[in-house]
Amino acid sequence: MAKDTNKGLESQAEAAQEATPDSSREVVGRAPSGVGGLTGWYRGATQPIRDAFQDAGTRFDKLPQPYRYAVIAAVIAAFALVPFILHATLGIQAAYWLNVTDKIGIAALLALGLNVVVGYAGLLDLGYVAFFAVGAYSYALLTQAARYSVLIETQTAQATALAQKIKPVWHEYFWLYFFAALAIALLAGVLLGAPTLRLRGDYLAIVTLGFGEIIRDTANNLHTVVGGPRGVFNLPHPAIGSYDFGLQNEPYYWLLLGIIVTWIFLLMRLNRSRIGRAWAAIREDELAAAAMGVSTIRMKLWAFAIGASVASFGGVVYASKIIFISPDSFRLFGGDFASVIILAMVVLGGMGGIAGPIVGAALLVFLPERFRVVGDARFMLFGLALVVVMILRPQGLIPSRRRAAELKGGEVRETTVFEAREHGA
Amino acid sequence: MPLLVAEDVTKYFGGLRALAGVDISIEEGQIFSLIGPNGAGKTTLFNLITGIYFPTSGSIRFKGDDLTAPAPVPMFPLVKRPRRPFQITRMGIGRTFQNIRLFANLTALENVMVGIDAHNRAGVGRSMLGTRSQRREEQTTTRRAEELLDFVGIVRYANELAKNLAYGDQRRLEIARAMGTSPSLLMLDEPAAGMNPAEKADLMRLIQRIRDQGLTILLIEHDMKVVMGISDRIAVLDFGEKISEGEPLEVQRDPRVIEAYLGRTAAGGDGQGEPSASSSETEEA
Repeated sequence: MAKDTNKGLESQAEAAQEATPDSSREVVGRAPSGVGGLTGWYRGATQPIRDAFQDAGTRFDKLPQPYRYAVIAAVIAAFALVPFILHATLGIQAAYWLNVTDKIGIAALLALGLNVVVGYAGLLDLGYVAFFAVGAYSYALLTQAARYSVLIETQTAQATALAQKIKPVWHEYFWLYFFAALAIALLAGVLLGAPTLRLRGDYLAIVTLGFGEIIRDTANNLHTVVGGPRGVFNLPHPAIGSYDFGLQNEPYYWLLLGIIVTWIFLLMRLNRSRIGRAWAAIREDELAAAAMGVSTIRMKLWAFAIGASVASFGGVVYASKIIFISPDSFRLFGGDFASVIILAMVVLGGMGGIAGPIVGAALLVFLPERFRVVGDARFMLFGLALVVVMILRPQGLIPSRRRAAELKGGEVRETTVFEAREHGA
Repeated sequence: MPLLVAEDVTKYFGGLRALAGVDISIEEGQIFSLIGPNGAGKTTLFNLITGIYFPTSGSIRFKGDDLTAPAPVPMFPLVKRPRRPFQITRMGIGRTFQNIRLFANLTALENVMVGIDAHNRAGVGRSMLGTRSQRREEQTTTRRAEELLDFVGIVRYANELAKNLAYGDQRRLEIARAMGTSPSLLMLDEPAAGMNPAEKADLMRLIQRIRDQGLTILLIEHDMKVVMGISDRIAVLDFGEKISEGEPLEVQRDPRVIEAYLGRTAAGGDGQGEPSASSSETEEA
């Protein structure tokens, strides 16, 4: 089989020539012609980098299985050592940059989750931060921190006394709340996904945007449950045995690293499986997917649900690290982890892969921090950088093979089964 | 018992009558062709059978089950609603599309695997964890997909993106993908469109080989050479009505068919006019 396919690659050129000239339709995608100016210079200058990456990729693929695992383990270990490296190199500044690294970790987790919805299933979601909020608020509610802060805010002697009684302190079983939040987010993903099933593209984006705002507005107005705009404070920091995570940055980093690595393994498997193929099929041509036996509704709901559960983990870690959450943390735009910024991470890094969203997250968190010296001008530079990158690399920095192919002259049909029913296939 | 029976199927799009009381009955193991001028309602009938449209009236029975009747929803057995296209596919009806609708940016192999997945069982949990049963299922799926690609003769392009295949190969890939869903009825919508004569001859052999595997085939085709060469039975649609049905030679001689294709004057002649005369015009449609 492998031999056959290698031959296939070689004979592809022949096949293209053999293709009947009377084919009524252009079959092979045409590369954009007339490359010049900035784009041309950029292509020439960066070709070696691309070659190097490709080279490394093929070499990695050729390694025998145990070596591949060894390489993966080495990469994970290298990431685990980052706090030590930062301490050794940055000295007094290390704590600051470690805080940034934690932010990158949360952003990477969110980008990975949104990538399931946008990159794998092709459903544009502009309200993704809602699931991040669901994770954080679930943790706040389950640990009783929400009730505690509401009681404190009432500022009566009785309420304060009662608050002191239920003041949330970390218990070992609080780890379970990570999974409880996951379950709640899974449900939220299905609930928010269900009404959007008939929609696609722009319309879907608008509805998801609405959902993001609904969640935030709900939190804003539930004064007696989650503190309204004042938010929830005094959330418990996690701990392992007697080791309290507290205000340190490192334990959260390792926790995030563990969560991210686990999700990467799960998501990669999922994307390679029947489920991933179904998502890709829906993205390419929903009607044809349905005609091939793909339960489009169920698969779309799964995409939303899995995306939501990844985000919920980010929400719980965020809430337990910052120990204060308010509706303002979960906005469409602005703030650390806004819906639009997460989407920008995914698109900039490259949809449909694993490395892409992570790199996108790292850059979009790191760069604004790095250029804090130039003050608010950095936001302008940030916008400019986004524009330049998207012109030079529309497929993102590290696109998946499939997604890169789509941008090179692939057509993606966007007709849902429902539309076909109404307007004809 | 016939495999598929459509009884008195009528479909209106608003005020437009696409199909009017069409009856067809397809026996197991047949190659049954639907022909008719453009706009006669052939593809509409396909879309009614596969559940993309609902008939305005009439019934379609497949292996004795009424496809148009509401069926229990999986997970909610008390709720009933009309079957969705994917459910009908899983019952054993595979199809191709008139205008190729492959998953362009998936490889040929992956395209076929999507079809085979229709009957695979591994869900999200098992796929995430990569359990042994899931891995075994993946292996058999890959192997079956390779077999199917080999069967239609494009296994050498297994790892090519579907959009990079030559036109004729894309048509073959669509057939392989539809066969992946393990259908007992395979519906081909103009599989020969845009093919050259040599490719058409190959396609005819392929369709016969598929039938020899025990599949029943419902074919829409404009190319009369293909239709007359391989069909066991032919139904002719015109303006949404079935105007003729029978074996290839009977249909060819039917004056109403000649009229539909060539107009009244030709039909008024000796009745020997060949419908294939018009095929060259409609082929590229």
